[in-house]
Amino acid sequence: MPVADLPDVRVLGQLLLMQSVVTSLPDDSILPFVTQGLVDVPGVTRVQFMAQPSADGEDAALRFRLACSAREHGELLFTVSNATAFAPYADHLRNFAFMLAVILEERQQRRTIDAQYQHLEQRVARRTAELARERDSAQRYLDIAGVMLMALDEQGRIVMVNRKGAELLGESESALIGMDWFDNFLPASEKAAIRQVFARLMAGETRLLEHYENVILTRSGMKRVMAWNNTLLRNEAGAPVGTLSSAEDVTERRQAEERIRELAFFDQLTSLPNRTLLLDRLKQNLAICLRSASHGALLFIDLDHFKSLNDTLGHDTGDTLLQQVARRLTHCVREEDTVARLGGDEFVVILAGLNGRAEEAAAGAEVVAHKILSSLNDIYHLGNTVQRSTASVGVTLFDGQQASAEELMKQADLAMYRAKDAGRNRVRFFDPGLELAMKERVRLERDLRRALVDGQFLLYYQAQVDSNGRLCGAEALLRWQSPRRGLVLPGEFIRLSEETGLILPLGLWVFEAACRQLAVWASQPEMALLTLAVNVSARQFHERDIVDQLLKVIRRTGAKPERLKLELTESLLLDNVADAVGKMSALKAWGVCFSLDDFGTGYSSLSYLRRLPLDELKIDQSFVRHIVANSSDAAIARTIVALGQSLGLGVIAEGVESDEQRAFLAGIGCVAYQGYLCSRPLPVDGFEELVRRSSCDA
Amino acid sequence: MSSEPHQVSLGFTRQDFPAGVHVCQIFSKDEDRLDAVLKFLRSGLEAGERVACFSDDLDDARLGSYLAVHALSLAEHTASGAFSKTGASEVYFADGCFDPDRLLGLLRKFHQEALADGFPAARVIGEMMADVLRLAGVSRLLEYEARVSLLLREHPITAVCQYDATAFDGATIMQILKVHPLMVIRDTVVHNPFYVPPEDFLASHC
Repeated sequence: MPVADLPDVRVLGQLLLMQSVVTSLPDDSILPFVTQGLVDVPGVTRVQFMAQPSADGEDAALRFRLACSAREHGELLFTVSNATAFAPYADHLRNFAFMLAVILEERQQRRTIDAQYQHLEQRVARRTAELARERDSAQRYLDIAGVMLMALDEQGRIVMVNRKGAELLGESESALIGMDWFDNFLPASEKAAIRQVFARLMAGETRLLEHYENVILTRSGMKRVMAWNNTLLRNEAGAPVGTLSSAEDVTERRQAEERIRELAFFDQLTSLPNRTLLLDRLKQNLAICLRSASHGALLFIDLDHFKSLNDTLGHDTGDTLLQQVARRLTHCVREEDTVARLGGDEFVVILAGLNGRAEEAAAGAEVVAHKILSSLNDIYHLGNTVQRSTASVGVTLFDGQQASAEELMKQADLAMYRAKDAGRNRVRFFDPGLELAMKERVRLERDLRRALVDGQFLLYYQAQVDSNGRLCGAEALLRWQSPRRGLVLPGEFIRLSEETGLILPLGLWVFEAACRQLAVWASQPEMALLTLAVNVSARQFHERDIVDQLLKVIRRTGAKPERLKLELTESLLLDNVADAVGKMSALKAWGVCFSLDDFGTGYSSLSYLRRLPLDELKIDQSFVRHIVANSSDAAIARTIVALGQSLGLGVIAEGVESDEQRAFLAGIGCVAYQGYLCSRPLPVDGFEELVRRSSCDA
Repeated sequence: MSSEPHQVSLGFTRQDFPAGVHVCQIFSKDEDRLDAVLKFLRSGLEAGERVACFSDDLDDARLGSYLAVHALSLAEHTASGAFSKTGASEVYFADGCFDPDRLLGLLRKFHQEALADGFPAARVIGEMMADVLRLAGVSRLLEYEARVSLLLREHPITAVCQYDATAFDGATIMQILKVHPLMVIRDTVVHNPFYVPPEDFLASHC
């Protein structure tokens, strides 16, 4: 190979260097750089870049196409002065042109990609901006809304809240997102229940409450009253996925309404209900009394000599006194009662839900009235002075039937003036008869207590005749030998005894007296086989340790339990059958017998009758009284006898006063009886005499 | 007695060169330019040389923190005269014109004073501004660069000339290569096959 054919190393280095440098050059600098550098190739006088390649074959040795893949990037056209010197570089220049084409192609592709990327970026940026604008716009709409807007997901977490909501809740919008609404913004007492309702709503188990008001707690713990409008959010399948709500803070509005209500219905000095609200409450109470057949009481209270106190000490001091009176009155009554101020020194109290019986309701009202008097009589600290005051109280009862609210007010007012007329600092009732009855009730209770202490009670005995016509025993009947009232029958004091609880010691006294008598009779041959029936009241039998109490008495007195017959009433047994069965069985184990008193007057049922360890049914005197003339009474008596026979129980009729009654009863199978036909209730001596005479007759 | 020529490191390559090399860096990213500047200055300061930088865009804070990482104090070296920085426009276009004679004089003086002040060598790195084409034309620029190569034979300042490929056109860059014996290609300093010795270049162009 001739030496002249070898390419100059320096030129090859130039080609390599140019390849390296062009990668750092901007696109538009590459071809000028290259064409300038290629002039250094031996034999070359000029190098041109032709964007449009010339036709194939035309001076092909001097044209080097910049082609890569299928793409043409133009060609390098060499003007050569010395073809021989140029020839060794032709292949290198072709390679160089190819490398250059690769670089240009890469640049082209990068430009395309960059352009596409840029286009894409612009589109993304444009769309992002649009979305941001839409979001901002939506947010602006949300923000300019004058109400709180909030969306909860199905777990009750906040997923959207507007600026107004954030301001109201006292937390930034971003911090609120994701917070649990129920845990963070509802009062502790309500959150569990409301969350449960929300869970049921999300489960589709309950309907959405679209409008309501509730109290929420802001982040700083302030209570706000919110009025809500709610919409249920659903997914494509229609299932609930959350709620969208708007809420208005109505705290101030409600406070204003409350203030208006206060001004309209409450006395500004004492904060007590005023006349308007009092009358409204009174009307409500009248309706309740009518519905529940109970009584209420209206107490009209007027301070004694308030005017002179007001004139002497000044109106401010008078106002302070009135405020203290209001507080004391409020403390004297129950939550459900009403204390109102009519104006001046006039106050009214409504006592609600008193007893159904007028006398007892009156007694209850009087207790409260005296409590009020006592409370108002206490000293008042009025600034630097200490003052005493009294009041007069007028009371009227109501049951919702007779008088209107206005009439009742007049009645209580009149009663109050009667209290004033009677010397002030006292209580008067509008109905003098009621007042008298109530006073008598108080006296009777006092006398009963004294009677127990002084031993004024005694037992009478009414004979009982068995199926053989023999006098077989007696029913012990309580009598009160009062020094002031004379001999008092149980009908006059048993009810009060039950109401006051005196029935417990009185019942125990009766039982002990009967046992003692049995023990005495046990040593008298003609009396020893008598049985003695003793009445046990419901309240007494319901005492938890009644069995122990009775057994102790039996042991103490030495009475034979098998001679004792306890008379229980139907109502007593019905209260708690299982308890009654247990107690009766325990006593029966000691030999005590049981008779079901007043049988037929209640709602006796075979199902429980069969469970009770009874020995005897007693036909009530109300059936016996007209048994001959009244077929219904006769039918009942006949049924009772049949029932007793079928259950294997003895049957005895009480209140038998004539031979016709006795004969009728005997005709239906009831030959045992007690009543005036045999004997009236007698003191022990009289009864014992009756027994002896009966024995002689036999 | 002959002495070995002082060997220097340019900082951005592992090769050592005799003092007085004239290197061209064509860059298209400013980060590449700055990287070369920082490394070049650092290696000069580490070698105890006097270094100068002609740049309109060198942040002192960045240079300071870069040098500090390499246990060099910018403040100390500035105070000692080891380091100086002058704006490129201020150096090349004083009085609004590009004057090769003035610049060559400035380089000569820089080298002489460095040696007089006890520095073993001196180096300079500067970015030539494209305004030179407008103010003086490419011929004056090439003449200057060729004369720098001549000057460095007597005053062996290690010089790196930085040219922005995005500011100068391709043909001019090719001509600039011809007046620099060495050039930086991707952190490597190579002998420039296009290099035309200054005598030849000046003879054919001036």
